[in-house]
Amino acid sequence: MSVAEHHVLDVRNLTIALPAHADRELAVAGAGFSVNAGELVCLVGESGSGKSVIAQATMGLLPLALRATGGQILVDGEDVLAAKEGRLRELRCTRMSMIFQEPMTALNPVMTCGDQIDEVLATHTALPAAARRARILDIVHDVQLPEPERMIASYPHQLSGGQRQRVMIAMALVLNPRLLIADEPTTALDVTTQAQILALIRELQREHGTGVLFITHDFGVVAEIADRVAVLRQGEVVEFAPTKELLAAPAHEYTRMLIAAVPSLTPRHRSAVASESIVLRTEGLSKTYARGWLRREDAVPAAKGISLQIRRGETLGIVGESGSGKSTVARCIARLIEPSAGRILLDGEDVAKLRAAALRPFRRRVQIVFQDPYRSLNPRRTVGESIVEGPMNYGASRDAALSGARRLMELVRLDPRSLDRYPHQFSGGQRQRVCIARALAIEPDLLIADEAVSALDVSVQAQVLALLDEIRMRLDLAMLFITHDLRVAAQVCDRIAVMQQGRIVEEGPVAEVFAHPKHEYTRALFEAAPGRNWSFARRASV
Amino acid sequence: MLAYIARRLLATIPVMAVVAVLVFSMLRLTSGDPAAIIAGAAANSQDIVDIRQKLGLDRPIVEQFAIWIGHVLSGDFGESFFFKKQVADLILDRVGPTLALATFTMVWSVLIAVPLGVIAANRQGTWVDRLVMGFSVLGFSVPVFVIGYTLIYVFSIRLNWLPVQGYQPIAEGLGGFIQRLILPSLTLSVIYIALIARITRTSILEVLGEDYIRTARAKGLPNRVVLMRHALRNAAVPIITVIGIGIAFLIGGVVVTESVFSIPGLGRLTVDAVLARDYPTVQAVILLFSIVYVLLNLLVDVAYTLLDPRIRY
Amino acid sequence: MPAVEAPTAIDSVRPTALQTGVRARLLKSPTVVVGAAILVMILAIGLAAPWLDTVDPAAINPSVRNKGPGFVELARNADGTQRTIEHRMGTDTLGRDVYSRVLYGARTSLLVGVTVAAISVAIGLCIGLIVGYVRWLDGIVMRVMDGVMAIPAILLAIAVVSLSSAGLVAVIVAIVIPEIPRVVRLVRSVVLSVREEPYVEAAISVGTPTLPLVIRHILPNTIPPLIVQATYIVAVAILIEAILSFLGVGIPPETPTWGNIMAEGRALFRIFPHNILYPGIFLALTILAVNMLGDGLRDTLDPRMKKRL
Repeated sequence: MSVAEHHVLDVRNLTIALPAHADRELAVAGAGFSVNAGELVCLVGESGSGKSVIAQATMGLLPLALRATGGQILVDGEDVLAAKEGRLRELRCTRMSMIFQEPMTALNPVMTCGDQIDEVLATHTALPAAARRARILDIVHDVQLPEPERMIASYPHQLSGGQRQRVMIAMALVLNPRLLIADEPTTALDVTTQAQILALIRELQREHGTGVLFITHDFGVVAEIADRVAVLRQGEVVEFAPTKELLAAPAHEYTRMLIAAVPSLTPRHRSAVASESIVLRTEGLSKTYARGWLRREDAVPAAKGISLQIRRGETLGIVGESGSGKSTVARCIARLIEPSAGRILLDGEDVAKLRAAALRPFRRRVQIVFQDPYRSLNPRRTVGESIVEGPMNYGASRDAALSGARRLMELVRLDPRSLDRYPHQFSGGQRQRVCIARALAIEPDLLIADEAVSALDVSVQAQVLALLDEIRMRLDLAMLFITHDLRVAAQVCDRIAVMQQGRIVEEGPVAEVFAHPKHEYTRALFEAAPGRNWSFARRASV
Repeated sequence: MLAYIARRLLATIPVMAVVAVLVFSMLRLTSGDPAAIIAGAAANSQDIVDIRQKLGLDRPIVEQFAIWIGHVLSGDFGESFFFKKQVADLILDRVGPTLALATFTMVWSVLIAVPLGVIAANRQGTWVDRLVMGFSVLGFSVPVFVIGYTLIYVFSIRLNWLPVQGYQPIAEGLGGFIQRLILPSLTLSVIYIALIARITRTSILEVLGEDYIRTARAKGLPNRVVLMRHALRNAAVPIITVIGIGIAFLIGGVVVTESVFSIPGLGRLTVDAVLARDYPTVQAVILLFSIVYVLLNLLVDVAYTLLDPRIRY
Repeated sequence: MPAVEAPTAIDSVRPTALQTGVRARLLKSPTVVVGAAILVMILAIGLAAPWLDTVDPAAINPSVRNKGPGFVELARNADGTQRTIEHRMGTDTLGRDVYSRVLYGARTSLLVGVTVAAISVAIGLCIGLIVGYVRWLDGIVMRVMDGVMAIPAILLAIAVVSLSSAGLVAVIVAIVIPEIPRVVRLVRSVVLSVREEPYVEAAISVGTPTLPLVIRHILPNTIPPLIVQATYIVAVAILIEAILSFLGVGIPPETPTWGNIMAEGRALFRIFPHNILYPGIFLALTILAVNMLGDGLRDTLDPRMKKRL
């Protein structure tokens, strides 16, 4: 009984039903775990596992379509599933609080940050205005926001993502709740910002003894901050154990699979690239977006002075945070946009300034796979039509193109008979493979992967990465791999270039850069990578 | 913020230029001698020569346009041979009733429609919502003059509560003024209320799906506060946008309503002028209405800056 | 090699569970069904007018003018025999049978509505596609569109009609002109948003030239919102035509339209309301049906349109 008293959150045999037409019956099936005061428990799972549903149920914010059909959720001993709406409203922000994933949209754009924090105080306490303001300044200071007075008077759109998330945390913790639920709060943030927010949450937790339920899909984060971990699959808690135990010796096969799928930060040993032939080279590539016709001088370059070379059979990675310009470079090289300056040399010929018709021969040789598998295929055309479009543009007959498409589907391990299906009939990972097949259909020399695995679950990600590796070897392709994820870069790339604010700050073989980063920004990136002290999958040398 | 207002002001100039060109070319697009058409059926050849000279109709067209614009900007809209008055005077005579009708209608339409939309959004799916939406589709579909005549039939002919037609200026008594404005205003407001209630409901429902509403609920705020402080304030921008655009419907409706209720306003003037082929008047009225519409929408743009801090900077 | 192997077995593909046919969804929507049913009925009435116990709608007979509904007229045939004509909806100021005029009027109204919608969508689609793709044209053309939209539609229609002799063609042209900018705006916004989609960029990068790109990838996205918009245009066109005729600047009374039937009945409305009420009911019902159909189509085909007007 005394153990139960320490439980800030106790989920017992929770069952939540899905509406009739869903792909399974239950969103959550008999889940059970607990969070103690002063403890941080991570709830880990892939997309669709039901982790957000559990969080919403705890706050009493389940969408109307979902119904809790069994079990209990005890917050500080009180069952919130049985509570009425009025009681739930009292409990929100006083006993339990929640912060969300997208700081960009989670704050009301037309109210100042101070007013939004003030609302919490005004609703739940009887404090007069002056006392509320003092409390707000305190909490804003606690979440380490600079210039609290100015912050309070600012509107959300004037703050960065990290700052907005701190405001959210301030709103959530201002009344010192016993439980904080964090639903993927750092997933949308840069890795350096993420490190700061994670540290902040840990610190505030220790200071106030709050119990934290941290939802994530990233095992690196788990390794970094969790005391205990609950692994969720299809609504079931398959394993619930202290972090060190779980990571060292996972009991359940699903947990083992998830952990094995996490790429290690230690670059694997790769054989030296045999070929010396350079497929593509850039010299001083730059792109500046004009900011309207009145303020040309204000424009900040998205990319500046980028000089790279990519060799046949080699994967060059470009690593950077959002706004670093890596996607801009990829799009320039793929000639989806025109660079402002510099040269792009393919076999000695400069394609940087060529226009549409002249680019046709070039396009055969450079292909790109995009980030979002759900928007990369025309939903109104069959998968087969999307794949044969390229070859047919270059004169292949429909039959030849289709038989080529069938071979490619086998190459990417999809059933060739499904060429006449539509994109919505495939999962995200499968769609991404279709996109790879489409890119390979016109036999390019260079394949650009622009954050191609960032939107995929970690297990699917591992499969697609393995596929890309295999393809690169078999077809002797050159590959340009854009990513923000250092782990992925470590496993996939031979050489790596680190970009910050439009420039390359460091470049070199991946083993060297990871082992001995020279530039301070590179070092900061590595410092910030969550779970860097844990090596996950053991990798054999190639 | 001033820069924003200045930019919006500048942006209206090309639009008004296009309107001016369109209106100007109206007369030149008819078959026949513009001077003769303006002079009307009962003119003699000396009149026609005078008109031709005054409007510069024998000069190149660009010059004609410049002359016309010059006149317009100094308030001279030409002379109506049909009504035998300066067009500017004609307009001044008739602007009062139209202004009264339009303002009255707009104000109380918004006052009724926005709350209706909020209530419908709040009770989505219930009979209240269906009633409001049903009324909205109906109000949008039944033509203005049909509504007008139905109301006249019910209230004036059968029940005899209100006068059938006519207009009384305020100067001659507030009671009569209001009494005569009730039915026309009611008629005109139906379409406006239908439009605004519908867009209010839609905007609020859309806003209610946003992330910050979820945050507001997670803070334990009561539903009323979530609705008014968070939802409505964010839905305000699309709502006043539509209020601005709906003014076009209002203007069109004014033309018809004044005909039905025999109100001596600008709408009636337009119709009479068109029937009489009195182009100077038609041109002037269209130009005027368009400018008013553009300026009112400019006001809407300025109102944005008050409602949405992101637009200020 | 990573511990997780790329699957060697052929991947399975999820079954076609969710994509029910568009037709099925349309048939499930009550507004679509009711609206379409009413429209079909009215269309049928209009087409079948000659066989629904009507007389020549333009036949003037001053001796029976201004009779109330239900009046039975004794007419003399050419060969001297008598026949009875029941004026179910009464007669107008020139003795014409209102019932016949109302039924024949359905033809004109629907014809105007559909023609205006078809033409304005066709023209607006072309302009919108071009403007969305040829950037330097965008500024000029959209300013012109804004200018046209700045003039309230009815005023513009009245002005255009006044430029030429009244008649069906003039009315159609007069209503088409103010509707084009709205279509252009719609198409342009679809084009601009679809252009940014990765699958369009992918098509560019596999070498698809501009024209096939537009037709294959961009045009299909414009169809659902255009269908919805076209429906609304039908409603607006019927309405404006009625207003024009009512004000006396539309189609002359020899060809009956609901608007000009009402125009004829204005003067003696107080005593003989039937001239206005009957066509008014038909007019309101038709426009209502079209609007309902439009709403239902929008909810089924393109829910994102709800925020636009």
